[in-house]
Amino acid sequence: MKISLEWLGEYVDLSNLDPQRIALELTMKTAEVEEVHLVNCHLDKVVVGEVLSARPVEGREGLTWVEVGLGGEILSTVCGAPNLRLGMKAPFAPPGAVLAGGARVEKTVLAGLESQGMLCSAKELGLGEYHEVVMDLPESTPAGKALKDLAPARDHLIEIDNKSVTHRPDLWGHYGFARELAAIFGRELKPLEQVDLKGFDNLPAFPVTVDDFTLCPGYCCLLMEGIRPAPSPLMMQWRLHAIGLRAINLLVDLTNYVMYEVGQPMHAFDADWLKAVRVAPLGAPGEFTTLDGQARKMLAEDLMIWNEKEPVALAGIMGGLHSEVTPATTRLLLEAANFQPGCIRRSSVRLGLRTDASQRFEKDLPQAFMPLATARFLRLAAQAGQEPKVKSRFSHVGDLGLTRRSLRIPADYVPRYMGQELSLAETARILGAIEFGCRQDGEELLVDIPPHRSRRDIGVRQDIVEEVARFYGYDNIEAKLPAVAITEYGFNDILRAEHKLRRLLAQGRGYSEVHAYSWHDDRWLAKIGWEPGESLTLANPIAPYKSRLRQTLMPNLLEMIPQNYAQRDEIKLFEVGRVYAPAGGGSRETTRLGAVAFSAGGQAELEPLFLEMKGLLEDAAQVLGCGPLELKPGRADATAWARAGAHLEIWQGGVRRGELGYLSGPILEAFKSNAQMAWLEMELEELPLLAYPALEVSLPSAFPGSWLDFSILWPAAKGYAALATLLDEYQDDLVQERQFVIAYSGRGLDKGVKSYTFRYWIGLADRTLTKEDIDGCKERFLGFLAASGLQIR
Amino acid sequence: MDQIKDQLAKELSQAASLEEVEKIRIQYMGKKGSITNLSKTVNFGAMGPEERKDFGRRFNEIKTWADQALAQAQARLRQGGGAAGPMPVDLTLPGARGSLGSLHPITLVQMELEQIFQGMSFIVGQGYHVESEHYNFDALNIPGDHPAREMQDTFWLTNGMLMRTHTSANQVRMIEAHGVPLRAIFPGRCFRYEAVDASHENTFYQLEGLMVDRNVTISHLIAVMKALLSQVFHRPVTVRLRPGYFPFVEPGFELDCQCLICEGVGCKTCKQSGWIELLPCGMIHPRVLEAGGVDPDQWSGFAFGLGLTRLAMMKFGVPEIRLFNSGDLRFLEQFPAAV
Ligand SMILES: [Zn+2]
Repeated sequence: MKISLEWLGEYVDLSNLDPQRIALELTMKTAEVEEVHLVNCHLDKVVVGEVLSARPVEGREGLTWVEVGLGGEILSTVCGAPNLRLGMKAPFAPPGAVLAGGARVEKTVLAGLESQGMLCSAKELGLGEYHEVVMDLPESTPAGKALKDLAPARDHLIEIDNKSVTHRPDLWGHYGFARELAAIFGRELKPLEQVDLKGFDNLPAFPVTVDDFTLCPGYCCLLMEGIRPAPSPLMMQWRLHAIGLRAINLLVDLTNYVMYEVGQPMHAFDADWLKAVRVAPLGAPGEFTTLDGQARKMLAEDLMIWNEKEPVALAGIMGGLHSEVTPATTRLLLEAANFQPGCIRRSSVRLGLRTDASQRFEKDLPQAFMPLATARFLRLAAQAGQEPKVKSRFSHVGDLGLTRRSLRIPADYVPRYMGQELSLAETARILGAIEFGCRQDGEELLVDIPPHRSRRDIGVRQDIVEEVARFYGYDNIEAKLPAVAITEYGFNDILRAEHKLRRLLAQGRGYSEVHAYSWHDDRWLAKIGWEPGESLTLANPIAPYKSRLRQTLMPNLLEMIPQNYAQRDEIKLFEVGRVYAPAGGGSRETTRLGAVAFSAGGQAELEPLFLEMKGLLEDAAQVLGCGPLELKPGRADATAWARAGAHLEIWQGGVRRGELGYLSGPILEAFKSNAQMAWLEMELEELPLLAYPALEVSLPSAFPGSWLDFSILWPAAKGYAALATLLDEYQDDLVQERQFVIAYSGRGLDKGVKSYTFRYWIGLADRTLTKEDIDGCKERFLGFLAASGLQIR
Repeated sequence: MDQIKDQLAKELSQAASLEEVEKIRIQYMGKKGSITNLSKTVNFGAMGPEERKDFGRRFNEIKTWADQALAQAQARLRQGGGAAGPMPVDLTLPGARGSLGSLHPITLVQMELEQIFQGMSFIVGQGYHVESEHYNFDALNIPGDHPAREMQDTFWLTNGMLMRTHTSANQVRMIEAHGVPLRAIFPGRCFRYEAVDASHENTFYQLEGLMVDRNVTISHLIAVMKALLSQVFHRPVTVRLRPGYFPFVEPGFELDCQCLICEGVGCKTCKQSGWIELLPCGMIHPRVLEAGGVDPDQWSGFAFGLGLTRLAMMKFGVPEIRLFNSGDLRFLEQFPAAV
């Protein structure tokens, strides 16, 4: 929204104030200023011209040859504007004038006719963007008069961030900003001149009924005659163009001008056929054609303005096609109403129809704006030389919002909440400057809320603090750190576990942390051949194939592998993230660790890759302190990535916590041909993370021990675990620990046979081992191997 | 002992390379070296206390002497005093990197902020990504028809829930879970229904925080925010507070930080304004406290929100928001593995 400083000058004297300073003060005390625009009007040499003759240029459709009277001199020009008419007054730029955009007007010959200047649109004068028509000046404007004597050549527009005034409907018009600036700079705010509406009290009322005052808390209207579709006064047009609107004719301009002055949208109905107004929802779904000619699908709850049994306007949003005022209209009904913000907002959002009016009604306009706008309309019309004949009394139903609301707050509340000393007198002075009343009543302060402030804006005592504090200056509040009592809270176990895992993987295992999206891409799921079960689903996804929330981290992690192929042969990435499962109409959200390791090194890389992942899991269990994890064979083909024989389940405390494995089978087709991949996914929720004692250390022996290495031959097909189980049977007082070192197959060994090297740590608790001890142990173990049918390498 | 000493001196003077000196060192001073073993060859039991003391003194002397003599011999050979070859280590080669991975830039920023706030005795919560309309909107004084709802285009679920549009959704949950007084932050993932481009993402991270106690004031809010930012940027910062509108705070503020690039003079980063909009914050609206079952006449508090993604972009100079969720290791691997 753009606010014109020139316009504001009508209500408050802003002379000697730098526009940048005004912008800064508004930003610091009222609302965020996004930018200050300079309006530079090109009025030099431009004069008021009168169209003395106009005839179409033969053979050149749309062009008119015009003789323009300049109060004596007559010049001719060729003009393409569609709104030319005989006797019209318009700005005329003679040769030598420089217009907005830098074009210099020259004498030319156009279509064989001499053009000695040009009639100007608002844009050509540097006002706004509207250039389709030439500016249509009031009849009374004297021809030949220099335009720079009639209108200012410069203005500054303060562009306000609309979001920052969502709660301030009083700031959706210039007068509201004038009020703020008057308070900020301690200058006088000129009252708005109004016509006294009581003067019409002896006239008959126009019939109005409102079905539901919660949807329409107030409705006012006035019947009038005698407003002709003439051009508006130059300054009214100037201001409307400057802030980016377009001047059309006095009636339309007046309603817009009042809306941008006080913030109240108005609507004019053709009263020649409007007999009575009723405000009520449509009642049944149907169609309604708005004045822009669009037929719109309506719902039963859309609030309408009815003429007896026919809906004539979409309340607070847009009029209907047939209720529009036309040049033939002689009587009109001027509406100033108040609608429930939510009701207007719902209809306008659903219909995709955002108008200046709906934007304001959505913000809970104060009802007091209704009589104010009506009285201003009449006054401005009179100033434009078109005093309408009022034919009804000021007819209204509902609340006019003229009863002042008040709030009672403890007398010391404002400084206490600010944390800053502030006298009662200063509080009262600040509040007084923005028209709040303030009176001490014993231990309390009685604060009187001015009618132009909305209920949504000023409703609780903290709102009063805001009013005082912002004018006091937030930066004038001294910063003081609070003194606090220490409170005992529990640890955030999951977060600590998350961070432990992040450190382990990044620092200890060389993994890179990634963030994947919370939803799947169905196109990728199809590619890896996996379909999730029942999922939480977005009603309005970014794309139709991105609607299902992830219940596992794996697919999205796997999806990140191919894009990284090009740069590397090894990829290790992980995510600590949330997964989401439907749960009884709601959702169950848990935190998981997911990791993927990729190698392009061929089949030989697969086992080491998987074993590294398995080792990672053991490390994870150790840093998490969740106690030993049990690995069990995975269920057959649980998912596309967890295939029978190629994955293990992770169990802890009798609960399945996750899985790990390597990719095999059809899913590999989604990746490079030589891709080897291992993966791990584990849920952290409900893992016992803070076991006590955290671990039981074994004391280092005072007597040095020794070790013995054995390489045992074993059929590879039987697997390591079977060998380990067999070796478990060996009992010896000297053996403290058995450690697996390496498995080997290949040269020097028969096909299908692997050599598994184990290191046996031996020692005694009460003395140093002797050579005899060691040799004895070795012999006993070799004996066990022989008895078990095992050979050593 | 003197015999050993002479022998060592002689051998060292003849040594022609560092390898030889090392052999000599092991021979005399190694685990089983002749000097090292001196103490084992002596029968202490047969000695008187004075004798033992004297032996100890001489033993230490010879060890010290031997260390020095070895070091001198090494130095002599290093300086070219012997027939030494080229230097064994090229000090100018690039260092060999360990197998470190990387933490996500958001994690780095989040962990650091958690440490800062834990130092100020705030606890850390997390909340839910899939939220109810109640916690994301209604409890925050944003009723169904409120215009603020459209500022935050929402991903809705078919079951009527939504993807939280801000970490503020966890405010009332935290108050309900922990009661008051309360000092808490809650970082996490948020979602907005919007088209993705260089500066907009539908998935991003925020860090919300609040403090509720008796007589918490605007003055406290300013002080804590200043303390926070000074720690984030590792230097004192100048801030300014101006009105900002958020339905769940009253009064609401935008806290700007003086541009750290240009010190407030105006530059590209701050769009010539000298200020960076950093922290929306405010005093918790009484209706929000009430929604959490807290009496606003007895308690007051402040709340604030930090864009973690935005902070990471500032801190690491990331111009393109899409990189964060891209899984592109060329980007992610540049970040350190430790906070
Ligand atoms: Zn700057």
